[in-house]
Amino acid sequence: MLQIFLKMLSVTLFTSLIQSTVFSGGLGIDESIKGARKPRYLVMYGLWVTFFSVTLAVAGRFITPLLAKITPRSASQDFIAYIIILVCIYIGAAALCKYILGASKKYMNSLGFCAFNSLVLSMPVLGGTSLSKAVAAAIGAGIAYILSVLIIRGGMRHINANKYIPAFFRGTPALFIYISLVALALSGISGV
Amino acid sequence: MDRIRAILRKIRLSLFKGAFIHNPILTQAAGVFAIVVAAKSLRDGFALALTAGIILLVNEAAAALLLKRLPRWLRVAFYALIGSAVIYLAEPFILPLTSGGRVLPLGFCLLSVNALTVIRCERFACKNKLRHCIVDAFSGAVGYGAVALVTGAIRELIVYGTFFRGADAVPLIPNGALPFIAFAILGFLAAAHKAVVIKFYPKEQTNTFSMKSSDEKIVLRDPGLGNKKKHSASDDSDDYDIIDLRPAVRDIQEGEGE
Repeated sequence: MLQIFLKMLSVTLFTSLIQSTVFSGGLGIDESIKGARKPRYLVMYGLWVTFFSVTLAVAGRFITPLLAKITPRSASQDFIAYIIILVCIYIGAAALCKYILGASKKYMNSLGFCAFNSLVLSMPVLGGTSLSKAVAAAIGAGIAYILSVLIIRGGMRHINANKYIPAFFRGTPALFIYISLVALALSGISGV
Repeated sequence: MDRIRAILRKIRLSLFKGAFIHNPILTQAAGVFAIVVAAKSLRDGFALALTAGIILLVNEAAAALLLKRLPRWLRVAFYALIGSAVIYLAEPFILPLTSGGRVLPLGFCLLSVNALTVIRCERFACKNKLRHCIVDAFSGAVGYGAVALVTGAIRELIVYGTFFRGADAVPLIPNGALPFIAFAILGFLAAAHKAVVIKFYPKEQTNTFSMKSSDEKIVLRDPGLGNKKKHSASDDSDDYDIIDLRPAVRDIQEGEGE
């Protein structure tokens, strides 16, 4: 049991800190940039991203062997199945929030933002070979999302405050180059 | 006849503004992940541009005709479903265009949840007529596709030293296919684009390059559970509200009015 826990912890730390799914993989970068612009409910968003990642990764572990039996098999076919599962999970979560917990309109809109992104949808593929690894990788992806928002937000604030950046490099260009440098640094650390 | 000419001129202008001046990737970083993950060569960039364009067009048409009657939280799920169905149907045509050509790369499969589609549909298609949406989808697709093509071509030249041969060769730069090179290329492309806009279209750059983070503090409480009425003004802002589409909408509508 302890061995499984330690393995999970190792995978979670690896996917969140060393080989960040967002910076080293480029997944969920749109949502991270958007989150960095409006980080007020980052914790809530991060928890929902983690929830959808974990549930889809677990469902993916069970559904992928069944999909493998379908011939001819194609990648897009697998992703239709994953999307249908994700939509079911999303509608269940949304119904719970809306009709039982009395969520506001804004809250409901944010839920879609957390569920339908490349980070969550890639989980059944990148999740790992066993259930415990898939869950650990999904939790790591959620943590990676929160960390990437904080890192991008820090960069944005410094970029906006810096008056020495040439006019045509201000804003989006400087942000892309900043993200590129962070991604390069993380790739160097992970040794990929 | 003059009216038709005026409408065509306005549509041309809207396409130019939507595709170039308000380019969704270079100005507001929408739909970046697919370019970073999938556009590793010119061939992949071309296939990506085609797929993203078709998904955007179909989704905007669906949003303008049917989906706008649904609540927004449900619409988002339909965009993903429609996107995945389009990818499934288009796979036999797209697969030969990609590098390798045997298995559809991950970046293409993930296009069904492209942020660009959700932004365009929510900010434009749900509030406008079908003909306006087609112009908007076309301009968005051209803008997105152009960046995908240029990024793919530069990446292939730098990493593989080839042109339109795909990403199958042994890379000249070890690990050159990793995302950091794509981010750097996008950064320099965005700077070049911004320099052109500042020099030749100085009036157009207002309200376009607002890639600033707000000064709001991160809070632990949730924004709306069990609290339907009480939420701050910032809560009303839109998660997808990152592209200022008002100039494009205004141009198209003015064209209709003339």
